[in-house]
Amino acid sequence: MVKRHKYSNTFVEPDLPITPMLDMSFQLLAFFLTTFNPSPIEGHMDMALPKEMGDANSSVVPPPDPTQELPEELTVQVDATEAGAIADIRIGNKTITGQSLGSDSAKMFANLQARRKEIGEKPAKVRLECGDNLSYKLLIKLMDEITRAGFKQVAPALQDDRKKK
Amino acid sequence: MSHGSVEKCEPNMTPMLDLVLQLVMFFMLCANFLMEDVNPTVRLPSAIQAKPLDKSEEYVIILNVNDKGHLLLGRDKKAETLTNRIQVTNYMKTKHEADENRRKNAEKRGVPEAKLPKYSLIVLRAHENCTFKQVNEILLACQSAGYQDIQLRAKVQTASR
Repeated sequence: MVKRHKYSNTFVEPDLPITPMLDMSFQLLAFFLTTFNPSPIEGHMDMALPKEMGDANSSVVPPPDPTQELPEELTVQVDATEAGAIADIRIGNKTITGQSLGSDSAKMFANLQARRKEIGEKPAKVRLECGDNLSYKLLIKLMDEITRAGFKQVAPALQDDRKKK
Repeated sequence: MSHGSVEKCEPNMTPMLDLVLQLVMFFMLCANFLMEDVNPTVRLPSAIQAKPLDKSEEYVIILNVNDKGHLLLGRDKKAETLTNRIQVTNYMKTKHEADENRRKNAEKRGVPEAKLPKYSLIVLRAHENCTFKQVNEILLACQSAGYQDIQLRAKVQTASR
């Protein structure tokens, strides 16, 4: 004969131990607090590599398309001091060396903005020729200003020794 | 003398646990675990025009350059460094060979040419105090190893003017 269990009607409240869970949560919190390192948001600068920088025999660089419109090319020459600061900026093109704009990059920005308006919608490229000692911080600043002036293709390069002042 | 019944007094832990778990969630989400190649000692220059990173790139090589223009091969301050262009070129050539092997393996498996794995994107994280000549040496080394797709990394600066 099967015995039947009698179920009591008394309600038993389940006891959920909160304290160990809280301990564990505090430990996790402590771990994340100590390892939390809010890093600055990083981005990338668009850059065109000058053709002569690469290996001449490299097959990776495709030949220029003759049907494509050649971009207007400007040359920004930046002389640097021994300490890495900007000594002088000149804006010209492949053949003509531009007038000196001094060491103020704001003048370069204004000049390039005006040139961008002259060029209009035609694609344009800026070759940024810098002195050896120019600090990388200033190079990025100059690239930033050239891009803000409306030139999306900036090719940084070292100044040709003949062009150095 | 009769004593009154002893009542157990317990603080309510549940709201506290809720709060702590929410904090844990916040820190877990904000924690950046994808920074394994990024050397925190490299202080980047800032730029307004710096574009957000494209996370769709599958193969990325991050190069950290310290303030002396040396290529760092690790995350900490005492990381091994490559100090001249020949060393950097050789290092990059090994990376390029790995890329080529990956492509060859994919070709063998019959992957069509358009879907072959791309060559790695080079991300150059150079310290703001190094000179352009030093950065240029690294760029030249990457190019002579066969890399054409190179990005310069900068801190995103909010426009103030």
